[in-house]
Parts: sequence; structure tokens; C-alpha cells
Amino acid sequence: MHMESAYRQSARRGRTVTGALVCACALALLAAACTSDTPTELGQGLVTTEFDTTLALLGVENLTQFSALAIEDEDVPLKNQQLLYLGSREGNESSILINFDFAKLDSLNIPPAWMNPDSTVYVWLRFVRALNYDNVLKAPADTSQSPLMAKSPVYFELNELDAPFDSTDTYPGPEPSHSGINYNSEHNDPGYVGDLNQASKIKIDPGVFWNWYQEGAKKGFAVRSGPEADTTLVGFASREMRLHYSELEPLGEFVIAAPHFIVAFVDSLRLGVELVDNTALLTSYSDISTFHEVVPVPTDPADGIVVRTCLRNYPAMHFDFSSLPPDIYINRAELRLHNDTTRGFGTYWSLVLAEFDSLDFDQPGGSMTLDELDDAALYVVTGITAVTPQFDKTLDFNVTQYVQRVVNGVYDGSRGLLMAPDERFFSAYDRGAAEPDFYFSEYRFHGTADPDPTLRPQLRITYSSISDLEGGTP
Amino acid sequence: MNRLQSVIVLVLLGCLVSTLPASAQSPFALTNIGQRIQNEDARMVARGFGMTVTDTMHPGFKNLASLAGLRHVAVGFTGYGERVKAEDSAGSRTTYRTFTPDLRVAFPAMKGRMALSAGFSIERSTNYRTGIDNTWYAWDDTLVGDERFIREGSIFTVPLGVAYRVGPSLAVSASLNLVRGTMRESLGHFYTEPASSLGRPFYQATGRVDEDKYYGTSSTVSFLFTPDGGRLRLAASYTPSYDIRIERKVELNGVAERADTEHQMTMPEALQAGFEFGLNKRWRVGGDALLQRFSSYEGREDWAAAMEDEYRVTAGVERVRGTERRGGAGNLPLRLSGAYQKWGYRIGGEPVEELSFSAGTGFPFGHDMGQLDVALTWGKIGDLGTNGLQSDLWRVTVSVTGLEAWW
Repeated sequence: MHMESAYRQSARRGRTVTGALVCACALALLAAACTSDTPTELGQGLVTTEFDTTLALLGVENLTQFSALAIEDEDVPLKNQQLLYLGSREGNESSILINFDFAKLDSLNIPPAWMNPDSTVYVWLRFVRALNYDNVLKAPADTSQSPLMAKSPVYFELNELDAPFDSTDTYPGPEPSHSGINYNSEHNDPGYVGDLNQASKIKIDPGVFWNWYQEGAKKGFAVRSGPEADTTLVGFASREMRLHYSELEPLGEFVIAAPHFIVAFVDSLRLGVELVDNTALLTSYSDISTFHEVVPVPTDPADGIVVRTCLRNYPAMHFDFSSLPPDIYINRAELRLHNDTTRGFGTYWSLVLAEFDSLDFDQPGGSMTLDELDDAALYVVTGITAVTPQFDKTLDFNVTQYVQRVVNGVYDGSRGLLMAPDERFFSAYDRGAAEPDFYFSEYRFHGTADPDPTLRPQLRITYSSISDLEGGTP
Repeated sequence: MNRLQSVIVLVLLGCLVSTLPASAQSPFALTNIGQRIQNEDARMVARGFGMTVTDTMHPGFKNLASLAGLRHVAVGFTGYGERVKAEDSAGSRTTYRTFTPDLRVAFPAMKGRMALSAGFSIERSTNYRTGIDNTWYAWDDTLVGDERFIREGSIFTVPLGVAYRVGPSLAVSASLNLVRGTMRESLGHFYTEPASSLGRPFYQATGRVDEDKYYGTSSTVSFLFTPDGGRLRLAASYTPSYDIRIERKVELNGVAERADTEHQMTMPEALQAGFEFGLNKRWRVGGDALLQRFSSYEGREDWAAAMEDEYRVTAGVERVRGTERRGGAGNLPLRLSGAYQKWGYRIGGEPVEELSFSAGTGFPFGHDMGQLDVALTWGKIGDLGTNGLQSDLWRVTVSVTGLEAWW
């Protein structure tokens, strides 16, 4: 009993002590939760810590290295691109080459009795225009107004080639010789933009068509922009087209995207059957854009800096950082480029800046494959989305982290900057379904020797520093 | 206390300490070596003297010689919460904070004759932040934002001591004090405008951090003398001058390079003394004094230029706890005191004087196995006219002392 009583007393004492401690701590915690007034300048006079330099400005304009890289996608050579380009823009010109195998008509089970002009209602050579070219930017009469989005006709002419073109030839390259029948838009449906299903059609004489069938199995054709052609490059679906749903208007029934002949027969009308049920389609077996005139991109940044899609040309550059003080903190660094909107054309892309080992672009006009570019573009610094070549004049790329890494000497070698559109490996900026081989666009930035100094590329650096770091260690 | 109780206490103390970064104190701590922290327990604060404690059932840790007669394991901690209203020409600001400056434990190695002690005691602290709106210009941009400065840290000791009763009227002690601490100054410029549509500033904030880490060792010897059986008690302690090695790291946020330097400062000797005199059975008067000659400080030149001798004098009266049956509140201890302190450094070219008055009481635990003490203090630091800065404070100090027989 005595032991039990002593135990109870001891336990009671313990509870008392613990209770007191808990209360004391709880009070202290409650007090800690009290808020203070917002810090003010009260006491500021006692602060002696400071920065030696705050928000100092440094403009870097000199480049120590530059290369206008030609990028080749081995997986998607020109002959496998999804669009065929027709027309000209800023010195770049392209025609479309198409090969047809007329022997394929035999496999369509067309009654031989129908294979003559009398049984044929019409023959069209038809193309499907990419949705992006449905409306084209047009300069308004009043230059103070913004450019207009307007429908534009496309004029073209069709030439029969002396022989089917060889898809293994290297393109871009000259058009093959041709001496065959020349159809032009004066004699045909002009293929007005915005017509049914964006299908641009060339009306073919049925007699000529059946002669082609009789003459031989394979024939090649060149589709060239006509003399009235608007100064623009228009893309039509090739037989490689895969982005039907995002880049083309919904196609009608029995309409295919690849270039094709469509033949309508008289007999079908006599039978009172729907016309579309009695047509035959002959699809090209190979097609390609010639790009027989392509303006070389400047290899000297003094002459300008060009980013080109479709026929990929991406610039890589390394700025002269010799004027950068050591051990500074970069508050902001932006690469300011001025885009010549009067010369830029094409659809918009995201423009990405990625760190690029300077050893990878020691040639003024080097080249590499897309896979090599993927390996060399080490780190995405920044990007700007939806940059329209015709609209966006001044581009400020935030390269703060890049310059800070240069200051910190993070890498063994030196890193430059690569400017490229949203390639698939720039996942943060790769928003659209179309890769840069799809649409032809050009951004033309003013060069380092531009007569107007305010238009030259400039790395605008704002930094802060403290002298205590001199002689420090990383 | 049993093991569970000890764990609870440690957890709660951990929570308490974790709240410290949110706290703030007087702007006088924004410079130099920082504010001397009141680390006495609430009983000593309220009555103004603590060097002469001889009560082994309610031990004091200010003078380790007080522990010589200990017969139980003693655990004590002190915490306080304070409200400080500071003023200068820019206006006024009110801050709150809690602090746990002292945590001690003592073991009776030879019951009634010798005790060992250890603990943690904050000697100096600095914790204050300022903020001021500002405008900068860069390129074509006008930057809007604010400057923020934070100074925070403390110098603390881990005193490892031994106390020994030499005779019925004399106890002595010696301790080895591990001196450690950190003081960090952070300056930031934050540019909130211009910003993106998502609110992300175009210009990255600039920040520098200067951090000092302190490493040193000091020693303290003390005695407690009770010449006439307890009515008069005299005590003193002496801490010789000692060196503190300082490792300084200076960083500019985002820059890989940083500066690591090392230097040394010599802390001046410190002398404390106290007396206590029993007027009658329940009333006692006493006082403590402290002197540390910062005029002989060696180390940072900018600090040394503003330093001068620091001293603190406290005096007070206590009506000790009564034991009258059904005495009610009349049995509670009552304590009153006043204190004057001159800080170890000048502000605005003039000495900083601190004046405070305290009152308090205490509540014993069952069977006298510990005590809860509280003290309420009002104080005034500096003078607006003299120093250009002034702080008025209210502080509630709570101390808990627990005893337990472990063997």
C-alpha cells in the first residue's frame, strides 16, 4: 500500500511538471504566431551592408563566332516532306514535280470501253492546299494600316517532262527539261484559293489524258507558278501528307490529299448514278519540290542573321564576353534582335535559343544532321512563342541564366547560342503538330553591320557585384 | 521527470526554437556584436539578483557555484515573449518575438557537495529586418521594388561546469564554455516591376549574404560565500578574455564564386558579482553587476570603433514564498527590481542606455520538486534624441525548473 501511494504521488508530481512545461511552451508558441508590422525603413540607417554595383549596364555587340548552319533531317529528306511548294518569295523559287504511273489505271477495273474522250466527262489534275495558305497576308493600299489576311489566287502552268523525274536526284536542284504540253491557268480553272476543299484543279483535255495512257506507263510533270503568280510560296499536300486533320481542311468523300488525276465518266451519268461514284483516281507515285532557286543565307553576321524552316538554316553565334567583369550577378541579360518584317515571310514558329558547344560551329557555313543538332543543342535557354516573320519586329530573348553560367564558368568549353524553331527536341516549345520541315518560313534579322546601329543584334546585360568576392573560391 | 516527460519537453522546445526565424527584436541589434540577451531565469529577472542563489530545491544557473549543494537532478529552461515598439525619424514599428535563451541541466555527482552541469545559453543575439521601397533605372526600364535587409543570428555558449562545496559557507565552480554561433546578414533588392503578364519580374532580384560562424572556448570561475549562515551572501564570477575564430562566407546569390575568409576577435574579460541580504524571515534585498570591457575588444575594426565598456547593474527586493497554512496569495513570492545597462557599443555616436523594471512571482510544484516562475518587464532602450532611435519593450519571462531523483 505504501509503495502504491508513493507511486501515485510521484505520478501526480510528474503530471504537474509536465503540465506546467506544456503550458509554458504553448504560450510561447502562441506568442510566436503573433505578427509584426511589415518591415520598414526604421533602422535602415544602421545597415552598412551594400552592393558595390547595382544594375550596371553592359551592351555586347561583337560576335567571336558565327555559323549559318544547314540542317539536314536524314529521316525526312526533301522528297519525303509533306508539302510541295510552288511559287516564289524573296528570291526563293520552287516548282512541283510529279510522276504518274498510268498503268495503275488498269488496276482500277475501268471498262476498256470507257477509256476514250467520248466516255469521259472531265479530267482534272488536283492538289490540296495546306490550310495555312488559305489566307495570305496582303499589303493594304494604305500603308499605315496593318497587313490584311486575304484570299489570293494561285496561277500555275503544267508541263509534261521529257521523262519522269528521278526522285533519287539531289534536290533542291534545277527543274528537269520539259517539252511536252503546256497547260496554264488561262486555259484552266485558276485554282482559286478557298475553292472546294482547297482543291486546286487543272483541267486536262480528256483526249490528251487518254493519249498519255496509250503512250506509256509512266510520265512526269512539272507544275510551275504561272506568269501572273503572286509572290508567295504556297504549299500543297504531297503523297507523304500525314497531318490531314491539323493542317488541311476536312477532305470530302473520295478526295485524297496527294496530287492526283480525277476522271469522271459519261456512262455513270447515263446510269443515273451519282457522279462521285463513277470517278477514277490516279495518284502520283512520287513528288518533290524543286526549290531550284534558294537564296543563300548570310554566313557573315554583318550581312544579317537568318532563320529558315523547311530547308533548315539555323544560326549559331558566340558573343564576345571579354568585357564582362568576373563574379557578377546577372539581373537580366537579353538578346535583342530586330527582324526585318518587310523581308520575312511564312507562318509563325516558336523561336528557341539553346546553348550550343562552340566547337560545333566553327565554320561560317557549316552543316549537320538533325540528330547531330539534337545532340549539340545542350540546353534550352529560352524561347518566344508564335513569332510571325511579317509582324514581330523586335525580339528580346531572356538569356539571363545563360550569361550567368558563362560568368560562373560552369562548363569546360565555351557555349554559344543556337537559334532554331520549335524542333521536336525543344519539347517545352514544341506546341504544333507540324515540324519545321513542314512550312517554309524565313526570319531575317538585321546584321551586326547594319547602317542603323540601333537595329544591330545586342546582348543587353544588367548586373550587380560586390568586391568581397574578388579572390574567392567557387 | 520520467523519460516520456523529457521527450515531451524536448519536442516542445524544438518547436519553440523553430519559430525563431520569424521573430524580431530591437533595431539596436542591427549592428555590431548584437544585443546582450537576458538569459537569467524569471526569478532572477524579477528580483534583480541571481548570483547568490543557494536554494538547492530551486536552483539557479547564473552562478554555477549555486549548484554545489544539489541533491536532485535539476532541469531548467527559460523562455520569453516580448513586444518591442521601436521609433526613429522614419516612424515607429512594433515587433513581437519569443525566445528560449537558456536550457540547463545539473547532476549531483556527490549529493550535497558536488554537481556537474551542462546546458545551452544564448549570450548575444541579433534579429531584425528592414524594408524600404525603391526605384531603379536600367536601359529603358524603370524598376520598382524594395530593398530588404535581415540581420539574424546569435552567439551562444555550452557551459560544461562543476560546482563544489568547499565548506559550509563557501562553494566554488569552474566551467568550460564552448562558444559557438552564427550571424547572417542578408541584403536583397527585389524588382517587382516590370513583370510579365504572369507576374514574373523581368529583372532578377539581387541578394548578398554575409555569414559569420563563431568558434571559441572560454572559461569561468566563480564562488558563492555565505559568511553568516545565509543572511548575507556574496558571489562573483570571472571569465578571462578569450579568442573567437570567425569563419566568414560572403555570397552573391547566383554567383559560383564566393569569398571564404577567416579572422579572429578577442572578447574582453567579463566580471560578475552579486550580493543578497536577508532583511527578515521573508524579505531579502540584493543586486547583481556585470562588467565587460569592450573598450579592449580586438577584431573587426568597424565594430571596435564604436565599442565601449558594457556594464549592467540590477537591484531588487523579494518577499520569499511563505508557508503559512491557508496563507493563500500571501504565501506567493513577490519580486520587484530595476536594472540599468549600458550597451557595449554606441549608436548614433552616443552610448546606448537601457533601463528596465520588473515584477514577478512563482508557483512551486508539488513537494517542492520544481517551480514555475514568471516575470513581467518594461524597459526602454536608447533615446530618440540621443541615439536617433528608441525602443520600448514589454517582456514576459517564464522559467520552469524541475527536480527529479535519478539515483
